[in-house]
Amino acid sequence: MATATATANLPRRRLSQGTRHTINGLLFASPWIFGLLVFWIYPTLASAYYSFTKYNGVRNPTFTGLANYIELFTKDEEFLAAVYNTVYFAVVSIPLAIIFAFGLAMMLNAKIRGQVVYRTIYFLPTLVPEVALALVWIFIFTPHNGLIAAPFRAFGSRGPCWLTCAEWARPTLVLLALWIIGQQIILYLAGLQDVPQDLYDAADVDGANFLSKFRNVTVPILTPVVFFHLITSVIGALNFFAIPYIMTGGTGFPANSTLFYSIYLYKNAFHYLEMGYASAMAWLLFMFTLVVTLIIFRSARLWVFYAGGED
Amino acid sequence: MDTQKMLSRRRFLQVSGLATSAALLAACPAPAAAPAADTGDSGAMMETKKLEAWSRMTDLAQESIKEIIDIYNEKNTIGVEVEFVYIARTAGSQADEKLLTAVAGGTPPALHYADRFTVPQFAHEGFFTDITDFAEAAGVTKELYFDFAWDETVYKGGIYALSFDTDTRALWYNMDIMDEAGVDSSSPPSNLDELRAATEALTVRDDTGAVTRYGFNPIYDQAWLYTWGFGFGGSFQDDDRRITFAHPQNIEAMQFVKSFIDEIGVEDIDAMLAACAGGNCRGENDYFWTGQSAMTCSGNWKVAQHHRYKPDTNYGVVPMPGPDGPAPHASWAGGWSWAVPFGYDDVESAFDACFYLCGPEGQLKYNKDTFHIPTIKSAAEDPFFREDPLHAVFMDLLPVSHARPPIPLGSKLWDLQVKAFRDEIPHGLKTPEEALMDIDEEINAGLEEIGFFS
Amino acid sequence: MVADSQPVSPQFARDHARRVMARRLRGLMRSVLIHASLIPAAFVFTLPFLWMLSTSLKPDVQFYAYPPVVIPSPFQWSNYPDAVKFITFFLYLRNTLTIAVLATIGVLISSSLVAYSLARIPWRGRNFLFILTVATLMLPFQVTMIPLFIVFKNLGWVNSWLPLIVPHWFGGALYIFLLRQFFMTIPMELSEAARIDGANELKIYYSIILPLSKPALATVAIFEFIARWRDYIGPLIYQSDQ
Repeated sequence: MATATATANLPRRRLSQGTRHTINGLLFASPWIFGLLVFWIYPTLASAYYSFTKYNGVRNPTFTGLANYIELFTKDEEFLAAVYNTVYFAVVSIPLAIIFAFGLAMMLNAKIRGQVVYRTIYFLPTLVPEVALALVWIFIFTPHNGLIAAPFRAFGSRGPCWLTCAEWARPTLVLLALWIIGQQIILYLAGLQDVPQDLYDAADVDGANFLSKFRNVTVPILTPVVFFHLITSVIGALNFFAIPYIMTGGTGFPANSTLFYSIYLYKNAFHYLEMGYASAMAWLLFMFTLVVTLIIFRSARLWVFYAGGED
Repeated sequence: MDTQKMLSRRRFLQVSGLATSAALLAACPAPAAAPAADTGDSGAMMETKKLEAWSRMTDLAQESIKEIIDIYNEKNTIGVEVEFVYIARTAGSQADEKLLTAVAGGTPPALHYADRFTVPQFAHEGFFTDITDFAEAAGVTKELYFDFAWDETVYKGGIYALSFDTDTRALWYNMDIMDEAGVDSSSPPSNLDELRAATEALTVRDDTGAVTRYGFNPIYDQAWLYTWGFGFGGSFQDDDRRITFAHPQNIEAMQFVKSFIDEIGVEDIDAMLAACAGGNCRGENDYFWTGQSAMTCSGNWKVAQHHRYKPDTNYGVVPMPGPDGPAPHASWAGGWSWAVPFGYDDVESAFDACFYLCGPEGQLKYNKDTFHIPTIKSAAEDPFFREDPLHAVFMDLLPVSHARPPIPLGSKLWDLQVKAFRDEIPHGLKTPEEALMDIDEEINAGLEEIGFFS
Repeated sequence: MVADSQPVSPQFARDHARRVMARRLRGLMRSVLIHASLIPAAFVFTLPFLWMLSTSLKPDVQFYAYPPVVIPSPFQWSNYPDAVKFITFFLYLRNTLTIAVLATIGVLISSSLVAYSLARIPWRGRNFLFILTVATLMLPFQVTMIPLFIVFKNLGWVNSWLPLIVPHWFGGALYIFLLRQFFMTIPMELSEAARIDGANELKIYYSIILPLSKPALATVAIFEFIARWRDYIGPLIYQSDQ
């Protein structure tokens, strides 16, 4: 408010500042708004409409009202299994990913020998298409003759059953997903570059130890990055697809334990030609993700710190 | 800050360089994951019309199809040029996303290579064009083809594809391993007790009890629910075209399979299936060719692989063993076909090319090149198909081979039976009877809904 | 005043030396600890690559040999040309790189402009646009694929590279979000001061915000480049010719 009065007194002002901001804001955002109108509006509305129809992708859709949604919740056991697996994966893997990525970024940010080599190594897995990585993991995580079984065999044990039994399948996939956090590490590293050195210097003068500097300087400055990571990993985890799809052939074996939401969605769309049903699944996922995201957005006021100020 | 500016240009180049080399490495275990760019000759003349033929075949099969297309391009009198386009799929997928998207978008290819048992489904859903008129004008009749192949290309009286090849299933065994293990390789298993005994004798385990060489895996390769069910004298569809997986003989077959699996150890069976996910055991990496499995239920195409990969090892083929002796009727015939996708405008030209590919000339060349069997009865009588004694065994199975029920819910049915056969029954999640009844219930309800029986 | 001229006592010098020693020791301990945790983790991270490399050089029978063959024998160097020939890899590589570079440049420029609007210009409706932007990431691709294909078809772009490049020139939701987060950490006073000096928004954008966001911009460039690099399903669906 104070700035508004101050600027209002400036001379040579024809438009009000608010109007000018709106015009500038729209101008700067115009490529994206145009892109949304051309590439996003139609596919989104079309899929929303399909979700109320029986539609195979080719024939004209026939309107069926809420039938797809009702069937999902009342008749479809695989849908419920997929929901459970996906939520499990999200709840377990997201905190782990944040802790690992943040922690590794802190270590990779320290001035130590071989920093470049380490950074390269941690980034490597993200360069490979997930499909190729999944194929290698099949080789490694094979219970008897995979590489992973070798140390267990040395102790005369067969080792865990990894993806072949229901108890191990989900944790195994959580473990594998942690392999590709290289991009998140980069993100945190970029965030750590942004921490002004004078904040640390000031803390040093106050005699702060490592832990209190971490808690009072590093973490607050990085909360916008954590916020980004949290939101995108919620979206990513709820759409977990390529790795389990390749490693189990999309079967969901054993006992539906590897059947994830987007795998089941994909199968409905392209195996069973139930595009309408798949669209209903997609919109449920969309609504669910949106609600979770909005809750996180609301909570952000309590824990995300923007040096540039908030609204 | 300056000393550790992490993303300098130099660093960026390093990372990009690594990206390149990493991708090079990635390409090697996963050739199927990268879409092959088509290098084909683009210097075509303006007046010839180009037709695209989409196929997911690689290796030998792709080479052979390309050669047939070249011959057709030379010979055809309607002034068209067919171009082979390799369509990569998501590994492990049965779906044809690219075809579905192209048909939905109104830009389909002229020809599509389709797994024949999915043709009724694609026809039902409107993805393929009814080519009955062209086929009749060209003199295509039911009598020319084997029944099972014909039935799969016809939906509600219309012809939707022409069949290209077929195959049969039998028991392959590695005679060298048998001799070494002291199992008489001149009298391979002829009934289920002998199969179990041979499996036991040929299996090798390490100190932890894990199998290091499989005698036989009863739920791997072409040993499917269909194979065992037919072998026990069961059937999968009744006269009203209802699905009958819970046929008493099929239940009995699955009870046998379950006890067989328990004998070997379900974790060992699982280990092999897990290792071979994602197509990791294709071609030369097949446990049978590496000698890690002494016997396998498989098809005649393995004859071509035998010549290619292991010409110096001795193998034998016999009909699948059944409960009361040899069960040649355990074999079922699969195969592929060519169809004209819906929405392609010049159906006449597309059919002309299709008819050449699937006619006697195209079929003979393809099936000789790749060791499959023509679906045109007269072509299958070519002496070539009996020259190799192993292949001759498969030819003898042709008259007694069954087919999978041709229904418009083919993909759903396939997934359900794989689930019952490789997950629910082996892991004891359901009894064989429950698992099979659940399949019938779901599929028949689905068929009812789309008016299949009316 | 007094402290300045006072000579350093020997006691103080000794203490100082001890403190420096202690700090060095702590520093050493710290870096040893860091190495001790980074090295095993780095091994785990490289494992798939070592295995990939080893597998790619193996004769086929050793793929699943029991026990696993770690060092191929003999080295099958010939696997490399085979694979290259099979997928006409280099042609694919060239195409991929061209697409990746063009897409990256476009996405970097437009996303930073849009993020600037969302983070640095206080206009009504920017929060709505922001939430809409994040929401575009939430609808699974599988169900928008066919309608999007129809959009491309109506634009006449099927069988060209355009669908793989042009949409990125209008910005990417993920990168707009990411850059917004970084732009918001830059103190607002910098912009206010520049505005009072008469700088327009475009000038603030490229002479203040962009220089201060180099790590974030580099991150976006890397992410987009790699995303295009890994993107195999796009070319698969929208292209059949090249």
